[in-house]
Amino acid sequence: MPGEEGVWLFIGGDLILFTLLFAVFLHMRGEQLTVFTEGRAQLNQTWGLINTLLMLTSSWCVATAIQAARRHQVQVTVRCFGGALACGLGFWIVKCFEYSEKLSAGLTITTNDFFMLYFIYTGIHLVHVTIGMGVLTALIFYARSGDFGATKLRNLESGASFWHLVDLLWIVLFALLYLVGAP
Amino acid sequence: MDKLSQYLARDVGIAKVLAYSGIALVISLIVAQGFLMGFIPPPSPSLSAEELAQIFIDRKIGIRIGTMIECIGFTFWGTWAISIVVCMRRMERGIPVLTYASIANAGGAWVFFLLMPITWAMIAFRPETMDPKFIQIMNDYVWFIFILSWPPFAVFMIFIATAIFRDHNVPTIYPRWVAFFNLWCAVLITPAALIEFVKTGPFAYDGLISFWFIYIVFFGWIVVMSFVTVKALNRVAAGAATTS
Repeated sequence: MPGEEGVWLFIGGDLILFTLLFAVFLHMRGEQLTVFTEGRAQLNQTWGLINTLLMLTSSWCVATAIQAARRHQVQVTVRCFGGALACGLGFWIVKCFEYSEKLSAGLTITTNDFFMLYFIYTGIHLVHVTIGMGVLTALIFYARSGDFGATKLRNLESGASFWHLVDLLWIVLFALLYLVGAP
Repeated sequence: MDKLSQYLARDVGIAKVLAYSGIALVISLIVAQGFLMGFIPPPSPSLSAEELAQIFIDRKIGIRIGTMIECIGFTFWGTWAISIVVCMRRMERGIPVLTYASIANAGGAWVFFLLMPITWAMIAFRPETMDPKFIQIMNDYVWFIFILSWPPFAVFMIFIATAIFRDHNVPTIYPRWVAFFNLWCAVLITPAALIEFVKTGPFAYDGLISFWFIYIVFFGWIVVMSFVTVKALNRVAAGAATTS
């Protein structure tokens, strides 16, 4: 198992929250099918798809960084973590455009239950992205000095596992918000 | 056993009592707020002022007794938090930054705890003659104080996690999973911020996420930390015995 056990406790706990959130979404969707279908149609799938690609790319960067660290390639490790961080920043920027597009169209958290969940879920996820970017920044500084011993590798893996969680949650959110019920 | 270890054993004994006071807090919450006041879960924020006022009129005796008990129970927040802080002091070398920050944090957070039962007690003092609009505002105020005040508590969780990660003792005073558990709780209570926006549904202050989930995580955290702190205190006592 990559990373230390504790980080998996954290990831498991977070997945419990999101499982609950996803169940709430599907339950509410079942009750207000038209509101949710119309709401989904008003989302911009292009923004969602760009963010999905950014998340997948960032995960690939993080995985490559860990591989490089195992081979003691300091430069590659640092650059790949940097690449993942840049993807995170890109995700943030896309979200800013997307939110402002929604707000200028008069769609807010109080518009209806679909947009309430849309803003809340993507907001909670964005908090995760922000924390993850903090983790990645810490990993970059941590990896710079090289000397990848067993403890250091384990710590790098712990941070990387968290970033994969951020990616995983987005994949599910993308499917749930942007794709469920799409023609 | 030398003199110093004897003193320490006594101090650790007191600290263990403080750690268990967290359990007393949770029990008093269930008894007072749950059974006596009937505020687990809260009355819906979508109720009209008159409907809400009627709840306070009907339950005023239960609320008076419940708030009396809860004032005592919630006082244990401060005692319980300090049992963790004394362990943190043992983890820090150099300047005990996290320890000081946690003392200030725990002392401040206490005010939020006590304001809840005190405000409810005030509503139940003369609910028949009070304008229902006032009752509605004051009742909202209690739940906002309780749920929207999550950041200092999350910060305390992060302080605990940081102290555990930086612990120089071998073995560490708390097991490392406790650090991740605290980080996890800190993240999980963040949806509390959303009660400002909605009056119905899972994120309203009586909802599945903003009430049930956060309540269970937060008070579950207190219970878990009580037990692991008692164990940690045993390690503090054992560690001092071997080094002195």
